[in-house]
Amino acid sequence: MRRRRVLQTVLGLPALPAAAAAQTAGSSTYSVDSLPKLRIDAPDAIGEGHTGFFSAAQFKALAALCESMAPATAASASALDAETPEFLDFLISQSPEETQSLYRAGLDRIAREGCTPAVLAPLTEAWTYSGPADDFARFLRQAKQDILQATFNSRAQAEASAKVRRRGGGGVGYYWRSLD
Amino acid sequence: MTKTTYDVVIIGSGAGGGMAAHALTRLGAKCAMLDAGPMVDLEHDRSLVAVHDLPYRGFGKPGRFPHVTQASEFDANMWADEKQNPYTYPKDDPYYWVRIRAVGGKTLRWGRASWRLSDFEFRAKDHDGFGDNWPIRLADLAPYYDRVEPLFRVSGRNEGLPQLPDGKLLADESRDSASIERFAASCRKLGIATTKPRRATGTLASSVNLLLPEAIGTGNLTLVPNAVVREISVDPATGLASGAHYVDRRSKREYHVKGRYVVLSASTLESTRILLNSASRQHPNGLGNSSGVLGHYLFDQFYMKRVVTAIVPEAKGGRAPRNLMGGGGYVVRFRNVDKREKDFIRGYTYDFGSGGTPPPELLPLYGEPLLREMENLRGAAFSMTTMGEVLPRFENHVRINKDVLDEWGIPALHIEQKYGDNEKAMARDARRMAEEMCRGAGFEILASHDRMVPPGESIHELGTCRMGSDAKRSVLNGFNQSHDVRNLYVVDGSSFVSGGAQNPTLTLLALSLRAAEHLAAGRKGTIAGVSGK
Repeated sequence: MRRRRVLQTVLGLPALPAAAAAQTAGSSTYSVDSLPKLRIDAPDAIGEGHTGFFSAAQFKALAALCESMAPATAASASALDAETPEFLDFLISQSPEETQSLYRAGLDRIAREGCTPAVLAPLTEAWTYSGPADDFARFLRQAKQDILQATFNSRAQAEASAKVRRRGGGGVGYYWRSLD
Repeated sequence: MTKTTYDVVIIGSGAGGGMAAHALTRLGAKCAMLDAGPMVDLEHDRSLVAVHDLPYRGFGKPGRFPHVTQASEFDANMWADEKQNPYTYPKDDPYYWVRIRAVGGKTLRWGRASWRLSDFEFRAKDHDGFGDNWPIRLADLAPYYDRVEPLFRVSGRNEGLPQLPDGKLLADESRDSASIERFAASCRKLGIATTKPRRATGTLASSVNLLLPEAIGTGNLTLVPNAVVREISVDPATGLASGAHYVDRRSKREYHVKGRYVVLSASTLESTRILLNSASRQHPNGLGNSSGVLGHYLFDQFYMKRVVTAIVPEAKGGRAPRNLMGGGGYVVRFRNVDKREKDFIRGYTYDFGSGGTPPPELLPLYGEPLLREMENLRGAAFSMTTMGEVLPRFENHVRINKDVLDEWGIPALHIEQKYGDNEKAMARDARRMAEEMCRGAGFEILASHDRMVPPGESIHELGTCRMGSDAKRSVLNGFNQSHDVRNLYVVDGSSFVSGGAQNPTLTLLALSLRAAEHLAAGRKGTIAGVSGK
């Protein structure tokens, strides 16, 4: 009997059902094949993301734009609740240079002229697939899209949707691990 | 130890390779299958994750996939990496080459739409004088379609139309939603037929669950992932294929496997790349390329995603009655069937779907009014996507770019494809007709366009190693067998002569099955005794 126990330990087989083992030993140890699924959280669930890609004035303009694009509603989080400005500061910092300049120039203009309906007027023009020729209008279009997606896909949005018992936000999908 | 000489070395494990292995192993041929990618374990290689737990909130790492618009942050690890697998194209004409390198290939991710080609494609030249006919007719391929459809559990509805041949289908007798019925009625008024989607069913419809398990079960298939084929080897005495040189994907160690036959199915462009990289004294312009057309006649199908986004007015504000919304279908080709169009030859089709919310970018609003309008339009959208035939033209081609090597030191492809006036005229017509169909159904058009996706993006790349009855103008005969190298078969999309607007996988499965059985029949005699059309 004793020999069998030793073999089981070497082979990593449970000597006893996990729960029983925990009880007898008085501690919560689990063997390899009876590990419970450990609850984990993502890095952005506990910490504040560093910012600094945009200047202080640009970031302030981005926050104002986020507030205009995605305010809170009964079923959705606001872009500010979703920390969308902080997220976009990070995302754009990793984006191609063309996107970075589009954003910087666009935010500079909002910093100068304010985030007013007059400044945002290009967003009320009819959609065209070719897109506007004007850089600022193109910036607004992309920022609207980015802000909405970042907000819909945020943790805050998932929590807001859960509160009204509705499926919302970006939902769930199959994540592929890297294939070796 | 002397290694086995296999009866058949199969290169590629996707639809074409999987089908060939399925058929050949049943007929007793000992096969070795090489795939450039890793083995995939669907249970362990993917898991359900909430988008907010992904580091980029679903955006994905910016710039990682400049040419794979299909890639999301969820499935980014599945697509072939462009830095490891580079290719080039002319500066102003980007080509979107979308690849999966893993056992099962693109059958792990395909859209599953499964339409037969018709004699409007096989005999295309007879209809309008352009290009070439295939060396086979529908009647030659029909018995193979008959066997592939049940294997892939294709569901749909037969319509008895010559441009969309009937299949051996699981009958789809589901009732259409009222919005789909209205749309179909609008099409009928225009003399245009619609049908149910026709697609492979089941939770997975891939080579890895429908073809490879049975092939391995025969005991005749040796499946080797991580084997990147560099070139097909040739016996200097006979000029016939003798096997394949390959590289271990991870260690980069070089190997050679011997085979009496080689079946190449590495995907349309990879197969042609391998043949071009397999030049030798006997085959100076690439293996099986005495005609000089290897690499030429590249085409695909142009897509116009969301050519029309419309709103079903009765569904606004969440007021849709039960059974108004939901479901989808297919508009059958109607151009150049009964009468000739002035502006273009050939034709196009649409997929359409009812339900969902229109994308926010289409609405000229922002902030609270936008969110309110999205709530108002929730579930009320109707959208259509165009799939159009692209003419196979000699000048659209691939060639080897010796200056660019992939991670394994294998010369890369240079790809040149442009859409021409015929495609552009068709695109304009498709937009106009889509609007007319929607208006006739009483839908409100929110947005429409006639912008084709860039060449390659439909992932329906075809041609470059085409079949034909004239060995001077084609690479393969009517059995997908090389005119020049009789023990070499190429059984993927590269063999297509023309492609219609039908999703190509079903046809390449049928071609591969037919080719495999031809090979097996020839194996019993001598290679010289095998003759295609």
